[in-house]
Amino acid sequence: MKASSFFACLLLALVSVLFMLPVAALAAATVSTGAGISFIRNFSDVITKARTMQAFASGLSMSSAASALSIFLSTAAATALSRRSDVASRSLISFILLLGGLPFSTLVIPLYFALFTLRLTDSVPVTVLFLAAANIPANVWIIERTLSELPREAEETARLDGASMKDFLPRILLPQLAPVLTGSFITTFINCWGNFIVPFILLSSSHKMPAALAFFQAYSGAESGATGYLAAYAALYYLPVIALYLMLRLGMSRIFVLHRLKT
Amino acid sequence: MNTSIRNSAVFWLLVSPVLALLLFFFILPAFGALFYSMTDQKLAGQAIDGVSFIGFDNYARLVQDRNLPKVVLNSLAIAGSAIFLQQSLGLALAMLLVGRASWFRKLVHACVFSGWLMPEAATAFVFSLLFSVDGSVNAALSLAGLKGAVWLIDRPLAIVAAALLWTGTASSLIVFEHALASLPEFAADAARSDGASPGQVFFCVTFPSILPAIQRNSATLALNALGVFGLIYMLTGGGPLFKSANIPVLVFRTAVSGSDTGYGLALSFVLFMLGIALSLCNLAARGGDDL
Repeated sequence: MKASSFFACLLLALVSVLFMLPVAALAAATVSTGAGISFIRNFSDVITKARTMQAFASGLSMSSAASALSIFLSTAAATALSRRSDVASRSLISFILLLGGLPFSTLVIPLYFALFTLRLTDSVPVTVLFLAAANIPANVWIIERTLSELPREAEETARLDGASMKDFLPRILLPQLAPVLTGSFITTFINCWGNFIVPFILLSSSHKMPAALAFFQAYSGAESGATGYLAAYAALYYLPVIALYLMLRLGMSRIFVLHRLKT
Repeated sequence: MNTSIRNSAVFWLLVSPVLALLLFFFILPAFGALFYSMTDQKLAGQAIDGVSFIGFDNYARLVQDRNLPKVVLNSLAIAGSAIFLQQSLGLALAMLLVGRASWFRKLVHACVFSGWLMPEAATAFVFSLLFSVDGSVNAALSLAGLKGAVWLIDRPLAIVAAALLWTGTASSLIVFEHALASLPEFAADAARSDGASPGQVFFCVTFPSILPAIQRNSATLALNALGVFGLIYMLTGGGPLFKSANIPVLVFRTAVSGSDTGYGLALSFVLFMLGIALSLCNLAARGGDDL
């Protein structure tokens, strides 16, 4: 190994360790034995509380529903957009991308007041629709790109063999799209699961709150002193994302490279 | 003729749900904000007969707002830190990672991505653990014989920037690994065999060819930095005394948790237009090609 290469690896290792420090601090806090509370006790306190389990369930169902809806609608639109290359469809893509760049915070506060007028605040369906919509631009873009990069021969052959659109979609198109759809679903799910501002502004009933909001309330409110308990809560809230990331890295890195998470 | 109409009908059938959602959630709120910003509404849901139309008065008040210059400067500082610190770190890591063994790259990725993947609320909690008065950083400093600080009170903006550096570097790393992977290797090799120093290779060969990626990435980072809310709100609440508040936090404090909806939404509409302007820059820099 050359000396420069050695120092590069050393530097990378050093930066990697620095990046792991916050995670290490979180892990260390879950075993904080202040007032005789043990590691297992911290986690069991989180798991046995009906309130936190409800928040995890709520986050899981909202994120899954929003991701599924977002992928379904984005695939429909991307299929249509990839079939046409005229000015109208190009400008539609630009329009979608233009909106897709906007951060959630510029949208969701004004939306709250619009929803107030329409008497639609504190509604789980509206929150799910917003999360789905907010992830649509990125999903349309990546699915449209994948579709337009697919070889057209398969489609031509199928058509010559007399396959109708009804056969074509499930037999030929969907198998080729499966990796990008899975990848987009997972990234959208991670976005929704970790998002704070959307449920924070749009939901107010405590039984509707997803994990993001319930955890913030625990840490800013009554349980703010219980470091070990909160660290266990945060770790449990973080774990599904790590699991999904590892799934993505087992062979679908391209999708991950092309996608970006939003703040 | 018949098929083209059918295709066109199918086209709009497939596209319209997406357009309807985007119009409802992206465009309607902006017009709503514009409408309310021209009224003297104080609270959400205030009876409409108690509200009067005051034209652009709220926009005129923006100039007199004592907190606004500080808050705008904070927003700029957050964007600057993203564009210069996150981006340089991401680029440096991407360049160091070129040609490394696959397992080593995956390991470095996993470490750098840990911050990117952590949910915002958990990140805020972890940074409050690290930087609270009796937190890990002060403990480590006192072990080293140094005096700690009340970080979240004395240096709230720096802590916010550090948290954003931790969460944001990964996205720049991805962008630059992608950009560097698509560079022709022979250009740098040719320069090297002609006796160019590593610095010369970087500034004369590598940098110019990844400049488009830097421009696109800067626009994206500026947009994301403009919209940071959750992390600041949960970590410092924007305080003390707006020392770490950015524009979205001020909008929230004025319009939602405060009682000056009309004025808050005027600020929000300005933020929306700023977002559109930056997004246009982003789109122009993207110019049709990837990322």
